[in-house]
Amino acid sequence: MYLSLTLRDRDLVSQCVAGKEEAFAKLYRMYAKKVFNSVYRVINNSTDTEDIVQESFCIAFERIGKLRDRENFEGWIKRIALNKAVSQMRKNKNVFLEGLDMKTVADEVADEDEELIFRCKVEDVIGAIQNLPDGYRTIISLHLLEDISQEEIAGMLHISHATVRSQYHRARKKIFVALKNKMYHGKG
Amino acid sequence: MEKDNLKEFIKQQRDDFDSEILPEKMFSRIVTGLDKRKAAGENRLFFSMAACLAGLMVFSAFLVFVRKEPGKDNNIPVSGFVETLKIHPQKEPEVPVYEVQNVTLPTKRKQITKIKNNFHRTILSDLRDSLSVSRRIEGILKIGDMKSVDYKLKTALCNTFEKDVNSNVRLAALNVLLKFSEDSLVHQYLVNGLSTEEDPVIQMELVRSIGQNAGRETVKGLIELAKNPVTLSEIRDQVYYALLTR
Repeated sequence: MYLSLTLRDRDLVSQCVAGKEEAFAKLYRMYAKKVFNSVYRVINNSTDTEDIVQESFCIAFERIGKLRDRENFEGWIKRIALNKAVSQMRKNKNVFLEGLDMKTVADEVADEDEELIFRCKVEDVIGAIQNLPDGYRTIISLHLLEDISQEEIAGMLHISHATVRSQYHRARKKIFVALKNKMYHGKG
Repeated sequence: MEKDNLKEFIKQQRDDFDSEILPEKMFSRIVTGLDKRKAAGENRLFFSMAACLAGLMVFSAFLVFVRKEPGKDNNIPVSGFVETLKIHPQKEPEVPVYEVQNVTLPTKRKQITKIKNNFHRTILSDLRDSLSVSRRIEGILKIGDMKSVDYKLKTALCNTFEKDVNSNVRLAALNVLLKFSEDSLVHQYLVNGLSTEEDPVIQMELVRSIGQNAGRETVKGLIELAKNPVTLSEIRDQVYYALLTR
């Protein structure tokens, strides 16, 4: 099954290079929703997300001949889109600075409370992530949902690895506080 | 390693996190955007080619006017070397007839050689510009305008055809290399391209251009291309046609 999927991506990319329009449409149908959601989690705004995804697909389709790893179109288009999303976030220079959120949350959630996550609904976790401040939300989305390492995130955001690590831990704690409140007190 | 329950939860239900719905008609907007980019790119290429052509015309005009003028003694004698240069008048003798005898390596010829070397260096620099596709294509077009190329330019062009990351650049290099396909080095690179090139447009051009060659290496390359499972069917058909009609 994996082999046939891999060949399919490669075939579709080759057909795109040859100029076949239906191949572009197929690639779009396969990956657009995933890319849209990845960007939306970072940007948290539908209009801007739409613009970024549109432009990313334009760039990817225009440069598809340059794609060496034709088996991984998804990884390539997602990286283009996420780089654009991060660039947009970085325009607000304060987003990723350490120490803006001075309230320490580390003591509010004990480790055993983290087990409650497995009793939560996906939409509650999505809501908790969406309600995070921009910087925390970006780091959580890139690390947990896009599987990008913290070192790489530090490079993308032009901040130190230590800052990424500490903001990631703070963001996690905030999520668990929100989920705990939702579960026990009904608050989002 | 510390257990990360949140990471584990998301990993188990990853697909459910992509809950946002795609806006309608986004693909048609992407296609429109692509068409606009393509038109803008074609304009840029057109103006680059026009600029290149204008540059070549200016250079040619410069070469035409770089000749020894009568009455001026600007030749440097070198012992043991004699050259005679004769220029005969046209029907309208605006350019006078003159002969230059006992001329050893003239300064003007040195200047022309220097200009030619600088021109070649410019082309090599264009071909090596990793940031600008249009500059690399300009360099290739300049080589295409030459009647013959020296070894350095030839190998640089072959390397561009083999290794450039941009398929348009490789295609431009192929079109120019085909002019010199009689050369054994160029021919070897073209035949190697049958096994290494992955772009279908370039593959098709290669098969059409060298497919009729009866050489053993060419036939071997064509057969490998036909056997490759990822070769597009149109290219496979072209290969079979070339093998059957050579």
